[in-house]
Amino acid sequence: MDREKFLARIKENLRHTRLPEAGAGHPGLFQGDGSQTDVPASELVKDFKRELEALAGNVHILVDIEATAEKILEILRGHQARRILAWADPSLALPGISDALTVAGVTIERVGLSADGVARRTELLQIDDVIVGLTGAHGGLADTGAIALISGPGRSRLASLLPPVHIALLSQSKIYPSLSSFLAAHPAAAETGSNLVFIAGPSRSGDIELTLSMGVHGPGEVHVIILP
Amino acid sequence: MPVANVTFYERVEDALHDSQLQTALDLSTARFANGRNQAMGSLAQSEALRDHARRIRAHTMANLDRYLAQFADSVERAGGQVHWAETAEAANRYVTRLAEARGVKLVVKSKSMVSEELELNHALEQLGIRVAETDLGEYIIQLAEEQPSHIIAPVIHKTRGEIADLFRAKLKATPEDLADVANMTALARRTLRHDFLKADMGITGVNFGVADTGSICLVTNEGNGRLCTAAPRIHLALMGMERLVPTLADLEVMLQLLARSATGQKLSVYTNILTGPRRNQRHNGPSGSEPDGPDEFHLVIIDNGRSNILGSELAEILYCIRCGACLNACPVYQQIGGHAYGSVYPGPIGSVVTPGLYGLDPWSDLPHASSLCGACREVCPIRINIPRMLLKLRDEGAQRGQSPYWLKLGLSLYRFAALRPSLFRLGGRLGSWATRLMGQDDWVGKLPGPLSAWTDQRDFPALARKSFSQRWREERG
Repeated sequence: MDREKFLARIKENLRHTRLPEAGAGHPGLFQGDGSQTDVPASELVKDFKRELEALAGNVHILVDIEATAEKILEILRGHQARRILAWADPSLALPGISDALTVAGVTIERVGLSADGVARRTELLQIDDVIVGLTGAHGGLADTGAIALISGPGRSRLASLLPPVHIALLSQSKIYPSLSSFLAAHPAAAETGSNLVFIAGPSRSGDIELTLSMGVHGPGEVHVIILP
Repeated sequence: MPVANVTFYERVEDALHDSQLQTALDLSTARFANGRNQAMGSLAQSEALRDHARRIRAHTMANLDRYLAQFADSVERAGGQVHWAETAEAANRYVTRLAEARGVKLVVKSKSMVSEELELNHALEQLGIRVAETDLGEYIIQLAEEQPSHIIAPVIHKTRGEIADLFRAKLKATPEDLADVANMTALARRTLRHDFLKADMGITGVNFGVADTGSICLVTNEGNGRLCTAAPRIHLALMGMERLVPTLADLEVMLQLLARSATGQKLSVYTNILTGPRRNQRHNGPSGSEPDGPDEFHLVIIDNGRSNILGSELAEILYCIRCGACLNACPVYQQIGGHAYGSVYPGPIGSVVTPGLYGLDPWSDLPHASSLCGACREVCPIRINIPRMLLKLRDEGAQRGQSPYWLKLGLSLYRFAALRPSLFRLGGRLGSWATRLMGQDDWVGKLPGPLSAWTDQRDFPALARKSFSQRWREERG
């Protein structure tokens, strides 16, 4: 009822409006003048690294599970941390990495929030003091240094958000030139899970006298590990 | 919406004499404007992209009823609940009833202009529900019990010292907490983190709704928009009915322009696209539920005067994507800042939106708060013709007899003289003679009678010795 009235009022007002440049048909996809050249694959990693570093993010290009585990342990040591809030192992770009970390003495924590408010609060408090979050990534965007994450079973939103340090594992083959090429390759990206997020570097604010400060609510330190 | 009890001109006067505000405005508007220019300059085919974005917004508005219906269907298919609110009261009633029904005690809120428009915080607080603003700037505004002064940077009118005083008084901050901006930020993070973990409901605005997927897009740099929509068990989003694009590909076009125009970033730190509540086993089958995110998603679509704008000469203002670039580019905003406008929506965009939403009568001064230089239109990513609409509103004001008597008198005197060439020439000669007599070195320091209002602030140039038509005759001959 409300809906019908609401939409009818819009329809009525549209009858006598003047909307400059309004075409009847949808304008379609942006074509540009065709001058936009595609970046060769070899350049994508380089571009991604440069862009993310410009945003004060860290990029590590590593070859295997040993090197990755060692890098993660090094980051943990730097923060005197022993716990990691992680995605389920199969969702990481490097299956087996969870076991490798456990063997090295790291405690892996998982997110699992109840629908009940009281239980949920307790569950949140239990993971709030974890310093490092570990996730996979569904894509990297070479032109902005952003990574794309899609929520799902075993893929929590909070692992990339709650801890002050976020480590993401990204396969080199998933680096796309731009946001539009990522979306073209993943037409159902917004519907696969309830949350698709693009993360471009550490959380930041310039609200106090335009002075940049990092780690306002999200992680202040972001590492992307690029794997072959 | 609160109407300030001092006049527009009194607020402008205050702003012009506030030296801290003047410093903050100089710094911030220049920084944002430069950032915007560089970011747009580095974007390939930015001009063509702006044209395309404008066509998308125009097409969406022309078919808004159809796209809103499609959007609502998609949201419901994804498990969300849609509520249609014709007025601010209706929107607030829905939110407060939902909060009461779910036993909500604490709400965490991410920056939302439309919630300021609704005065939603007030409605919730009246029921004893605490509302925590979580954007750092909005949080400071809330502690200070003030109004935001900029669409993107709500607290640019405050110095670090003022904010430190506030943190000391309200958060019992130690000297260590206030040592630098990083520590002040860390203190706010710690304080707000408690609220995030305790809150029953997260309330956000909507940067864009996507009609075909039923998604909403929320853009933040701090991550508060993500936390508000990941930790609490209920997410409620407030959306002005015009904030819609047809497809994800259209959203991508807007995202290319939004952050660049707003802050000079290529992309905001967090571009958060949310489609319904978290998926449970009903959606996902045996593969399991999503581990976090809200169990309920409510979307309130708000008219509150927007359909009247849609049916008026001001309809084009609904193309706006709220980047704030027109504020930073506006020479009037650069001088007076956001508070002087007296409305939730300041700057050039606000001078059209505010009279559009609430009627011209209480806001007839705003369309005059512009030099009509066109800088707003120049920087607008959607190329909205703001000056045209400001003129339209001025014209409407004049039709309603809102122009002051002296303006009408002056213009009719001018008209009388301008229609009579000999009288016009005589007037010119008299003016030249009189201003030369009163002035010194071609400048008049003090004019008589009501004209002194001009010379109280600045000198008036003496009229030229020879008029243009005199010189024209001489030099042609």
